[in-house]
Amino acid sequence: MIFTSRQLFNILLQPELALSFDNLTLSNLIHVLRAQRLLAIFTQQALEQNIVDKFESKAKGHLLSSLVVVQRQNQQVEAEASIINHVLEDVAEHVVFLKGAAYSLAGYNFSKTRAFSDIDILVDRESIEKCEKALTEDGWIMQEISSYDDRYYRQWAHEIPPMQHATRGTFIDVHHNLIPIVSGDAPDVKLLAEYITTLDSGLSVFTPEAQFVHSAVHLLRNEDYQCSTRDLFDLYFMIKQNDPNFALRCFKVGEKIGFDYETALILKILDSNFDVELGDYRSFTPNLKKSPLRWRFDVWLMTRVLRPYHSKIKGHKIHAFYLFIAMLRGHAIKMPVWLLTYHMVVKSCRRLIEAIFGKYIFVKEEEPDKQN
Amino acid sequence: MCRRIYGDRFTHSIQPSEFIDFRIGIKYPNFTRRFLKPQVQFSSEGLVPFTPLPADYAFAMLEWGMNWTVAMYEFQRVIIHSAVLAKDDYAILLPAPPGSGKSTATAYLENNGWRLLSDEMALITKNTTQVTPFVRPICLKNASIDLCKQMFSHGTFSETAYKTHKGDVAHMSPQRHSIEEQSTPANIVGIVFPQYSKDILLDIYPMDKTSAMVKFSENSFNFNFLGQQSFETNVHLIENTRQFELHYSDLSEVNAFLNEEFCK
Repeated sequence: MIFTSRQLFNILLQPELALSFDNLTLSNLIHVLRAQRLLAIFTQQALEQNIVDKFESKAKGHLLSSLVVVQRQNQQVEAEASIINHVLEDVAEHVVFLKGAAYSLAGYNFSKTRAFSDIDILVDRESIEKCEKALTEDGWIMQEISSYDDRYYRQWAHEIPPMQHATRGTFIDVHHNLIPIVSGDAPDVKLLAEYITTLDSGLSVFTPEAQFVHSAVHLLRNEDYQCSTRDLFDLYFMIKQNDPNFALRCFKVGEKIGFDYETALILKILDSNFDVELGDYRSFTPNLKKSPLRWRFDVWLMTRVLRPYHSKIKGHKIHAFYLFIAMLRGHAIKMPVWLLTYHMVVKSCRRLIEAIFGKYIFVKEEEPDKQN
Repeated sequence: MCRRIYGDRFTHSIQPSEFIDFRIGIKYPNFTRRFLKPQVQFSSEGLVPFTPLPADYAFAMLEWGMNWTVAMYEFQRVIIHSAVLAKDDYAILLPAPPGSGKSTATAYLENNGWRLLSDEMALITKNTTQVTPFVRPICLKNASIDLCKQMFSHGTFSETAYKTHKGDVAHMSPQRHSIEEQSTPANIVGIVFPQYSKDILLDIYPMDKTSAMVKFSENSFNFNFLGQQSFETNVHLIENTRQFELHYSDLSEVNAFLNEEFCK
C-alpha cells in the first residue's frame, strides 16, 4: 500500500486509524515512520490514547522500541546540559540552549518523542574562542573536517565546527548567532537577549515564542529536507500546547528580530497541513521586503517539501524534485551570489570526483560498527 | 547466495498477513561502482550506516548489516553478544570475543546434538531466562573456515570473503534441526566463556557471581539504552544460571562437559 502524506498526518495524530490495517500495511507504515523519524510520535500518541496493546505483538514491539532511544537521550540531555553550563557559565556572557535540548530542558511533552543528534547552544560572539578552549579542556574534541569546511565555518558561518565529547560521544554545536552572518539577514544578537529566560534548573533557554520563531527560521533556511517533517511537528506541537494568542505573540517576536517573513510563512504552512488554532494569522502582515512572487514560491515549495518523503509515499518521485529545488533555495538564501558561486565551484569539483570514483573517495576507510 | 544459505526460508512472495520487521538492502552505491572496482553498500530503514565494501563481501555485509539493524532497533529484549545453543529446553550462552574459537565451537556443537539458536546474539526476554532463537548462518573466520569445511563436509558454505576487517570470512548454513525449531524459545541454564588454546587439556573454572556479572555485561549490545532493565535482567540471569570459564583445545571435551553439567 502507498500512503498519501495527508493520510500519514492523520494516522500520526490518530493512531487508531492504523488498527484496521493488515500486517503488511502496518509494517510498511512502521518502516515509513521510522525512516522519517516519526515513529516515536506515533507511539506516544498511541500510548496517550491507550491503544498500544491493541496492536499485533510484533508491531507493538517496534512501537515501544522506538521510544527507548529517545527517552534515554532525553535523560542524558539534562546531564549533558548541566555539565556544559558548568564549563561555560564563567566564560561566556550567556549560554542559551537551543532547539531540541531547549524543548527537553523546558519539559515540553512532545520532546519525549524527539531524538537528538547534537546539543545546540548560543553564546556571545566575543566569548566564542574562550568557549572553544574551555570545552576542549573539558574533553570535547573538534571533529576532523576538510580545511575548506573549517574555513567556511570560521569565516562565514554562525557557529564553530561541531565538537564531540571524547568519552561520552555527545555532539555540541556552539553558535554565536541564529543564522549565518554572511546571509545578510542575521539578527542583531543584542535584540535576542530580551528573550532569554532562566529555568528552575538554572539553565537558560529562549521564551516559547522566541523558540518558535527560531525553530521556524531554522527549518525554513535549511538545505536538506529529507527528514524535515519531524521538525514541522515540533512547531505544530508548540502551537497546540499554547493558548490561541500564541501565534500572534510569535509573530510579534519575529517582527522585532527581523523574522516576520519566516514566522508568517510557517504559520501558513501549518494552517494548510494541520487543523490548528492560529488566531487571525492572515491579518499579520509580514514586511514583504521580499517580493510577493517570492512569498508565493516559498509557500508553494515549503508546503510540499516539508511533507514526509519515502518510496512508500505517493508522489515520492516529484518529491525528489522538490528536495532538489529546496536545496538550491537553501543555499541561495544562505549567502550572497559571489560566495555561493565560489562555494559551488569547490563543492562541485569534489562532487565530480565523487561521481567518478565513488561517494566515499574523500572518506577514510573505516570498520563497520560492532560486529563479529 | 541468499537462496543457497537460507534455502526455502528465502521467499519472494509476501502475504498481507505477514509482518515485515525491517526493510534492508544491499546494492551498488552508484553506476560506476558496478563495473569499476565494484562495491556494495548496505542500507537499513533508509539509512546507510557503513561505508561501502568490495562487492565480494556482499553476503558477509548483509549478515553484519542484519546484526546491526537488530542491535539498533530491537529494544524489547536484552541483547548479548553471544552464541546460543540448546538441548531440549536447556540453553547455554557462549559469550566471547573474536578469536576465542566461539564460532568453531558453535558449529561443532550444532553438528553434535545441539540446536543452534544464534551464533551472534542472544535475544533475552527482560527479567526472565528465556532466549528467543535467531537462527542465522554461523560466521567463520580465517583458519576455522577450512577446519569446518573438513569437519562438516555435508555443510553448506558461502563463498569466502578474503581480507575483510575481520580477516577471511565465510558463513555456514544452520542445520535443518535448528531451523525446524526456529520458533521455539529455550531457557538459559548456563553461561560459558570459552577460550581456545592449542594443545591444552580441558580446564574448567567455575566463576563467582560478581566476575561473571561484569564479564557478561561487557558483552551487552544495548545495556547503554536499556539501563536498569538490562542490569536487572543480567542479575536475574546470573543468579539463576551457572557460569564457567572454559579453556580447551578439544571440542569433544567441551561437548562432554556441557552435556554432563547442564543436561542431566
